[in-house]
Amino acid sequence: MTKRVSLFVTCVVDQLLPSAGLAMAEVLARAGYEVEFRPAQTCCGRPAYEAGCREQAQLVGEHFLRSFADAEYVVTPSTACATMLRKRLPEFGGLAARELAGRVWEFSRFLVEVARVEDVGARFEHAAVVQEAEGLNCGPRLLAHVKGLEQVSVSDWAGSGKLWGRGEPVSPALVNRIGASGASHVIGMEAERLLLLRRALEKAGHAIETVHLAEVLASR
Amino acid sequence: MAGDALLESLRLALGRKKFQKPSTPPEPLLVVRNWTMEERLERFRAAFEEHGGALHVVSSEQEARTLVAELLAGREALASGAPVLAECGVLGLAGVQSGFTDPELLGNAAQTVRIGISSCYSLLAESGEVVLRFTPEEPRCISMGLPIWVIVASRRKLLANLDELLGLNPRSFESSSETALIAGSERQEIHLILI
Amino acid sequence: MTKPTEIRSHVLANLDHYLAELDKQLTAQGGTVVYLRGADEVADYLELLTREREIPVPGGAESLRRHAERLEPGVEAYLRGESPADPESLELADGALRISAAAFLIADAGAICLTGEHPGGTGPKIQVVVAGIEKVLPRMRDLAVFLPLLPSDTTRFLTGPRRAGELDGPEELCLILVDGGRSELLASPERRDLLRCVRCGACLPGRVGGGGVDCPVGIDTEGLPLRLREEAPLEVGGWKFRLWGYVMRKPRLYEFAGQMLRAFWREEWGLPAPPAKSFRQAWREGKK
Ligand code: SF4
Repeated sequence: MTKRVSLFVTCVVDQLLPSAGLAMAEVLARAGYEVEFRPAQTCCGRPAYEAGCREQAQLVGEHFLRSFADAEYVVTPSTACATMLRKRLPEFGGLAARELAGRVWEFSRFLVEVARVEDVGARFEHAAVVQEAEGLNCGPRLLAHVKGLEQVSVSDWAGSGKLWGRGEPVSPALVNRIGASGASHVIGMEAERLLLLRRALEKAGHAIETVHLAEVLASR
Repeated sequence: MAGDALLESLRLALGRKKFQKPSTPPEPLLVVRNWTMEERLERFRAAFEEHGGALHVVSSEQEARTLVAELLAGREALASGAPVLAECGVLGLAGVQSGFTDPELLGNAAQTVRIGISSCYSLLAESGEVVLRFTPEEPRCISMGLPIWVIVASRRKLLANLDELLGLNPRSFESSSETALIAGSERQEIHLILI
Repeated sequence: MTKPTEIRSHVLANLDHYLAELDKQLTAQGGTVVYLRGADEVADYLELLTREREIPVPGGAESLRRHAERLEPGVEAYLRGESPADPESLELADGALRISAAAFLIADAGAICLTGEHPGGTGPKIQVVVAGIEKVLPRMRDLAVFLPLLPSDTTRFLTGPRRAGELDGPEELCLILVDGGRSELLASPERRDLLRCVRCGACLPGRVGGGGVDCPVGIDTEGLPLRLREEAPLEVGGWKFRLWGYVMRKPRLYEFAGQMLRAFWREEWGLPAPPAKSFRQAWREGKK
């Protein structure tokens, strides 16, 4: 029997980086899952939570709970949102919330730990800088199997940008290091950081493309 | 960002309504000094000289004119349209250009001449500050734009302090494009001739 | 409560009123008033202005951005001691444009108060002044208690561009009012008082008179680092997050707002071309 995963694309990917969501759906389908998208979903509540507005974060968290209460797995392309949901949902709701929290997975980690695939059969023939992974992100393990990918390393990812909460711009020094790395692409693990970086690169006039991990894994 | 949107968000944050009048603001206490002219002069001298200015007190317009001539020592100068300068006869001194009505001509003249002669709006005894109000008669570049600045003013201009200036006619500031308080300057040699 | 504390509290409690009055006065006197969200928007604005007026900028847009950040570090950065007390003004192209920071704004006179800035020769052609929205004072006479807090050898009150008949002075005067997170501080009862700060520097370590005890506007400078560091309290964001929270619980409304939201995001972050379709639109169409 095929297992079912429910996409939680996050508000950022939904509105600003839909290609990452579509790619994620494709990779999951190739890995043998039936993929569903619940249109009731909106946001995990993190923008409010990080700004210290717990009340609204909780209300939005409760909405998330209602939207996904009976989902088998909830898979999301954002480490930060996954962490938020895993940690905070239990505070916001009762038993159901605690159980759902345990079924929320960040996309790369889901592939490695639940689906148990590391080689998704992707081919991506470019030299690319890989954005530093946060937390338990398994992106680097998945990328190691991508054919044709030449990884270019950039030392020191300090100041790679933050959107919610107090926010933090991408450091110009980092942008310059990436610009000078000789890579044609940057692969991001996190949509919002990727978008901030994309903007900073464009502003600095570097012709480097930014793509989400899921998009690389979906390419053949 | 539109101003209205910002103001509206402030109103929401503050729980205020549009056009809601505020309560009367607390009054700042203005410090009134009943100093005699002699006391004002004393204090002004001390503070003004502390800022590096040179104060020359004269008793007549004739004396003022002579002193300006001495300070110029044959050099060229630009003079503003302040009435007191005409009254003293400063405008008639050799080498003094005045009566500017064209910005460009004035700008060009200011490129070559090193001395400016003007008056001032008032003088503050307590702080030793010169108050300037820039008007068509008193442009910036004659008073503050040249290396040597000679100010000619009547001692009636001497106020006790900032509080007195602010209490006089608080709305007078709007009548010109700028008012400046100067307590000496590293860029300029300043002479004040007080009649 | 000291007089300065009382007056500053009064201003903050009625900030919209005094900003509106200032705007009206200054505009009537020939000035321009612009409202921007933060340093980023200030930089964008300056970039546009210099491009439009063909004013060369040494160091380009990046240097304008750095200057905008110095002029508008936000009130919290200042209190944390992370910003210079008197940001230097920037003059471009031999006086074509000067960008300065205001010490105070005076509502009744429509005046901008600059300290420590010599007007120099004929003055710039275009004078731009950047100021946080909290800098307003109600009346000219309030300066009797505030100016002594910021002693300076040159104190100027700009009340508009040059008037008819004046031979020099700026042809244009533009005041940029920046929110920079201040409206959020304002909405928070615990932290609103931070906006009373007049940047006198008395509380900053290493400054003359520093010591963290005698703030002229009654800010608890001892507990300050703590209050700045603590996670923002509940009230932060206030109505904005209430609206956000409401939309995020109504998927239909959220989708409807999506188009506008994307436009908003583009403005806010200057994001290049947001996608025409959201994920959910693309998904729906793909499944048909
Ligand atoms: S002493 Fe008070 S007003 Fe002065 S800088 Fe510190 S907090 Fe601001």
